[in-house]
Amino acid sequence: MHLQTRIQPAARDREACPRFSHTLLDGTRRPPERSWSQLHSPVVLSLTEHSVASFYSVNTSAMEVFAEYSASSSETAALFLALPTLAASALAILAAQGLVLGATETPSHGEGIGGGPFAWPGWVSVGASMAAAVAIMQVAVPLAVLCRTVGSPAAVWSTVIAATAEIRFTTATALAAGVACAVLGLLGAECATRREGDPSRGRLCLLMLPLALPAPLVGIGLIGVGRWLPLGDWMPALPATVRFAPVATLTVLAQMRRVDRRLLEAATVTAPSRLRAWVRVKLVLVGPGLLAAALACMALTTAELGATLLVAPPGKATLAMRTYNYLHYGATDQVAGLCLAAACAAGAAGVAAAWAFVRGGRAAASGRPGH
Amino acid sequence: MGLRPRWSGRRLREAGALISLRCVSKRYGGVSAVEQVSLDVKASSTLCIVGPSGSGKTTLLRLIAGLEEPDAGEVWLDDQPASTEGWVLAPHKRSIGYVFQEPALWPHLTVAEHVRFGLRGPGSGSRVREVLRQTALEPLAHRYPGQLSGGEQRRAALARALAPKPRRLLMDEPLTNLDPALKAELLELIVATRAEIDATLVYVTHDALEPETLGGRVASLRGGRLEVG
Repeated sequence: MHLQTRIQPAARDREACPRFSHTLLDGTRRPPERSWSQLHSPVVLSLTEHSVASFYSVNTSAMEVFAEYSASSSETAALFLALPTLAASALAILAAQGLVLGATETPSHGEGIGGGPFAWPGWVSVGASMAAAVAIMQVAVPLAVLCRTVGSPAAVWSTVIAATAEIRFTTATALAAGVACAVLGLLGAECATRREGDPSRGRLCLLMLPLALPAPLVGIGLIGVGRWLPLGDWMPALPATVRFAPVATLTVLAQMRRVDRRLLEAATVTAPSRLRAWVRVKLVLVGPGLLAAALACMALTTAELGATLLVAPPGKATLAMRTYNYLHYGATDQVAGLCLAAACAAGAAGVAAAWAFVRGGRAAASGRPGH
Repeated sequence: MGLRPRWSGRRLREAGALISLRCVSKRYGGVSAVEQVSLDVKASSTLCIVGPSGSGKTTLLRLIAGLEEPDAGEVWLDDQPASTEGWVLAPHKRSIGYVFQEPALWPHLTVAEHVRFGLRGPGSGSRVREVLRQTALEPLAHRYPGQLSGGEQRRAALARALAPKPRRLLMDEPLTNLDPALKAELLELIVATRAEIDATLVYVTHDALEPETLGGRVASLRGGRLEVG
């Protein structure tokens, strides 16, 4: 829950009471839409992915698209089959635009809450503790099960050694996709905020639309692209870039909106050229957001399967593809080892992305007097 | 902000005016910040704009700097059109030094790098040293904004604006929240450095005493409307 940090102390003063009050919470918290907006990405990603559902024999729409194309090799049939999912995802994105815009308004470092500590009521603290516990369990339980299934560190090591080629290929693909997504994210965020500084809903909507594409449809579309744009081993980076560039755009946009606008205006007025203002000030201040975007997209690319499966060059496989194949053969201990390795890699990238984003808050704020 | 419009060629300026505003208006939503303001500021002169908070002082400066687009009216700099509805000349092409109400220093650059930021060409090194000496920032040249006191940050912001020798200096309450002694010291510095580069100064404040030190004309802005004294 984000709080409007500037008005919160004022509201507290108004209350003239150190204890928490419901009036205070209702009056100062950001609209609940900010929290609801967090649901947007999981909903859309769940609609467009099929890899996990396939293991539980759940026939999702995205799975149907994949199956149809595998059976008929008809792009048109796959496209028609994907239309309902496409429409539903696009509607979800359109409906959530305002909420997503609000969610990118994260407070800068230094805009902290003034005054004494904020006293939350008991039920909020209990709820927060429960949410933290669930989050920890979400990570700890699968990790514990994976460790137990693998048996020993030596078994993990041997599995990882056996999958060295896939790990190397996945790392290269994730790096390429991360860099491409960050660049596209920067361009997208610039495009979304080109005129007034505040993002335009229409442009942001267009930039978010690739999220609505079912993963297999992205792969099918890019098979055609691969025919006249021979990217060779780099081909799997392309669907990941298409799918996750909107995530990068949102991340960079959030960082841009955290940057104190006066810093950018000071650069615009003072610089002898627009390029110097952009390179020496804006790019540097947005830099941590770019890094966070690249790392987040790398983590997502590591786990991408739906589209990669269709465009991977012959003889090459990503870690997710190898895991997927092992699962179908029932090799659970090797799957567990690979999943553990992939989870650690993606987790490290995710933690690094979060670190970069937190650091970005500090970079975004203007220098405050030191003494 | 759109294509450069065709200008009618009307004589809009008074002779010698470096900054001219003609019937400039700016609204934010339903609120009128600046209402039909017309103004001429002659070269090398000082204009102080006083008025209470929310009277439109900052908006007026931002319109002159090209940070805002007017809803109506025109801004002229020298003999050149600079802003009108639908078209704004980029701020970096206006020869403007702008000192914001907050120092707005870039956290990743040192004081010397701030001063050098607006300069280019071979003489920039000596100009940086000169400005740092004038503003007594030489010992702090390699410090970052977070290592400076409030007063030092204001001086650094002033040095940054002065370094390129702009023809127009716009200052938006640059001495707010400073103690009287420091305020007096910085006011003297502003007067001296403005005279040295022979810039036209537009100084916005809500402190009635600051214009006395700065000299020049005083205009009052109330409810977005200007009354020139």
